[in-house]
Amino acid sequence: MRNGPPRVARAIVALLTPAVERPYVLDDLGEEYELVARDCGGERARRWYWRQVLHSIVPLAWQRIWCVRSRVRTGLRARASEVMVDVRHGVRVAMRTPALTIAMTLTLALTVGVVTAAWSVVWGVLVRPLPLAGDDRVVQVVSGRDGGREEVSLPVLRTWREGATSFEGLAGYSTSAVTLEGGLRPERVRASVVTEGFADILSITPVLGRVFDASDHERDAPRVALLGHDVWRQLFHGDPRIAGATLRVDGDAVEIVGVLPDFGFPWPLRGGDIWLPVTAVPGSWQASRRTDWLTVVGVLREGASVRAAEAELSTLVSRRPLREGRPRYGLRRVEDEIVGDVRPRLQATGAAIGTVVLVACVNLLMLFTAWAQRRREEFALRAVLGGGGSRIRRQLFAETLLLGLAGLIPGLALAQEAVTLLISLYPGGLPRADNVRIDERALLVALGVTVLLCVLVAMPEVIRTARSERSRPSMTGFATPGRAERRTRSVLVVAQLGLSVALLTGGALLVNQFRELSSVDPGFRTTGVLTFYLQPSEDRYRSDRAVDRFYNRLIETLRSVPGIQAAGTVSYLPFRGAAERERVRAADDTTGRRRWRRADVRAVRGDYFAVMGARLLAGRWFNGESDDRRRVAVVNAELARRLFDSGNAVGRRIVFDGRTWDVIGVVGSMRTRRLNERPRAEVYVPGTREDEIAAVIAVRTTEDPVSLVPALRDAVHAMDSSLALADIATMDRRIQDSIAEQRFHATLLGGLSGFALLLAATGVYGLVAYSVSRRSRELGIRKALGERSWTIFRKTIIWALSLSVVGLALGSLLALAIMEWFRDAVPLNSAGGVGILLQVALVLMSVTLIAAWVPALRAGRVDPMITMREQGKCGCG
Amino acid sequence: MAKGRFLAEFELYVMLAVWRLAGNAYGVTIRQEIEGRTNRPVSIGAVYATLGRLEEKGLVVLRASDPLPVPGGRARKYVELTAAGRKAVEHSVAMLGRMAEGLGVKLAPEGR
Repeated sequence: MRNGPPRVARAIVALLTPAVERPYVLDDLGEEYELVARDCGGERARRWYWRQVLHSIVPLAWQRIWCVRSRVRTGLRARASEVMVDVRHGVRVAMRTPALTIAMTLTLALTVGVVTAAWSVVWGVLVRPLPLAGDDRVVQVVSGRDGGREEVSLPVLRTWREGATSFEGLAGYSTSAVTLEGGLRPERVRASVVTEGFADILSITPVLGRVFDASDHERDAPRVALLGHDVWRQLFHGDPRIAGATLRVDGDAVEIVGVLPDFGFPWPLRGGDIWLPVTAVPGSWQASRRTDWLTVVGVLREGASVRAAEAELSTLVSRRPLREGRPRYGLRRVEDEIVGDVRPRLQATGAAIGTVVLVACVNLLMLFTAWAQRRREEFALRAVLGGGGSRIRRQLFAETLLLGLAGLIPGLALAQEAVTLLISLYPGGLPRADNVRIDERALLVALGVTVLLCVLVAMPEVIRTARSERSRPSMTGFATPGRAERRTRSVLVVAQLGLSVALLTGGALLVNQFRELSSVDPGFRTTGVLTFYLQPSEDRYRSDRAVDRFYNRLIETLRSVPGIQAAGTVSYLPFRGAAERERVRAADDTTGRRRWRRADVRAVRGDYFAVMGARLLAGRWFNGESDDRRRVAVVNAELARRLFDSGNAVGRRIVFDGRTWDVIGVVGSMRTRRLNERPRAEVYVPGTREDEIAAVIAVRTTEDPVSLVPALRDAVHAMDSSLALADIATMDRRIQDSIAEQRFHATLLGGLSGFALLLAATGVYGLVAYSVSRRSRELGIRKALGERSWTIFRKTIIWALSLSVVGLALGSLLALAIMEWFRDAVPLNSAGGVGILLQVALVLMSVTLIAAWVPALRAGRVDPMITMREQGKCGCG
Repeated sequence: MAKGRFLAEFELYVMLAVWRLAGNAYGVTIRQEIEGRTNRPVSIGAVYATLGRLEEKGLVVLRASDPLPVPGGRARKYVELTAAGRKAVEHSVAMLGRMAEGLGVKLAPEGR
């Protein structure tokens, strides 16, 4: 028979019982075991022991858990009270140095705000998935050669739909503009005709009504349409009764069967206001194999390879599917189509913002070091008195976090403002701007950035504290900064200056570029000119003569509107897209080689030249109706120069469009596409070009042009109530829009660089002040030995300026690198770069001088007696 | 009385046993006292777990004795009620009495 309690049972109890109680529990069990064994025998005693142990398992296990929970609670309570102590202490310390505290809080707020704003924009525009089902598989067919636009015929699309296995579905669309009636007044809107299944393939669910079904695409189907979300809200005020209502589209009655959802971006691009179904009649141009008019989009099958899909499309319809090793057709993600241009611009903007954030971070680091440096004696005292280093480090983090959280709210407010400003400034409107907002995600980002910044900024000081503690905790060990620290600060300031120079140089170049561009004379008068686009119905004006009559009457009517000085029309307005282009040559070209030149052709009526303030260099203007029927033309000086060596074109004849024209006048060249482009060769003809019914009306006003819009609208409607005035804008506005991109970059970079320079100046001031305060003993001795105040002042200033020189050199190199890197997004004309650099150098030196002035003066005024007394007091050195 | 001072049933038994044992209350004696009086099995683990909780609440104090003056003698952990502990016991018993008042329920157990 075995003696003693069962070992296994004993081990179980020992395992479960807390160490403090273990011996007592085991001994108590052992004591009773002996008693039971004595009274009832060993076997019964063992059984009793096992019963005790088994019944003790649960209570002892709970006891363990209870102990752990109590310890954790006690620990947490202790931590929480420590944190409260740290927070209260931090607040007191912050209030003792208000200037430094405010500076740090503001810098933190700025950094957090800017980073959060930048993140929100990038997320909303580039990262957030499109609200199209299977979004990363939604692709558009493009040219396989260069990725450019590619259109196909309806039969090709049908072949693909029947034969392509890489796609869940394929559909096509084509965009145009139509006149929509049914709202307050006729409006010109952007339209798409879409093929069967377009909405189904992209899983688009209407907010009202239904999408198109197969019957809507049939030949004689009743005319139906889907209304875009924005148009529904703006023109019909979100009226739910629109589904089922009948509107007029280009004069035809059309039933609205549904309203599209709000995609957050125009979809399809340039055609999102109204959708119409394709109803191609066999034998019509739409059904012809020879007419390429559809842009094709599709959804790739899960796991389908883009390359394989491209090859498949090419093979299905092309006898030569591969050209130069590339497939005939390529695929491009629809998302890239929507945000394509924006990506490089946002990257450039992001780089500029990132640079400012870097400068701000360096500033923050230096401010924090200055703040912590003042506390070193306090920390040293605590360490010498036995205060744990970890406690001090925890306090550093706590106080930094406190500052960070104080800066979080202003930072978020700044982020909101920055986002609004960026969206409003962005040229042509930021795509998917509706998605850009400061929401919960942005809040989390802001919080994360705050914590990260606080940790990064406090880390050097925390490490320093740990090192000092390890080596020799003493008052002097903590209080005296090393040379290494001063060198580090100098490097940081040089870095700040360098980054500021890079930003300044870029900013100055852009501002210069923009200023030059804005002052370019376009060759015509822009103030007081209002323009709008008209597209009369082809059913109503069936011949060129009818069109002419209409426009001539319209011009007469507009001239009689009070406030209108002159009125005219033009087929293609300058700064409103491309004009018709034709090959032109001199009719009497005697060189033996026919010199064809490409020229823009514009048809004009009425007082167009007078409205635009064009200069007549030779000959005469058109004579109104009498010239309308003759083949006469006015050329611009650029074309005259190219066609006729003498430059004298009046009385000569030119050939284009298969006909001969008499040149009756030469007009001064005008810039018509971009202000930084040379004037193009142009030909003006009177009246209507064949088959062209649309025109842009231009009027010169004596009052504010915009105030005359209602009167103009009434005058047009009095003649034809089905007409919608589209694209109403002043010429000033069009010119401004053409340079909006340059303005955006100049404003942004100019503003950011100015700000970065301010921060860098603060850094210089801080560095010089810090250096002077740390070297006060040395300066006191030098003064005592006879060195003059002026000499000390001069040397301090020279030292500060030398930092600027280094910063300038580094910054210039950085500026060159950045300009090269972002050349595609922000084309910079580096002519005059040397001049710009000199200006930047001057600005930098001046700012450095101003920033270093006061601390340098203080250095010169150090009183040796006071300095020695102060040094003696603290026992340092 | 504070909310946390309400005694659970077994806690009351342990404290009453400690009170009764007056100076001789340790694991073995407390367990035997409760098991003897309630006529239900009590494990040593349950006793110590309860004592741990009671000590945390400040109702009892545990002190280790010197080793017993016998060869191989061991130390014991003796338990005493604190003033707060006594008050808690009195309060609980009084509560019990008030709840049972007028019901004809006898406080003395049967079959003991």
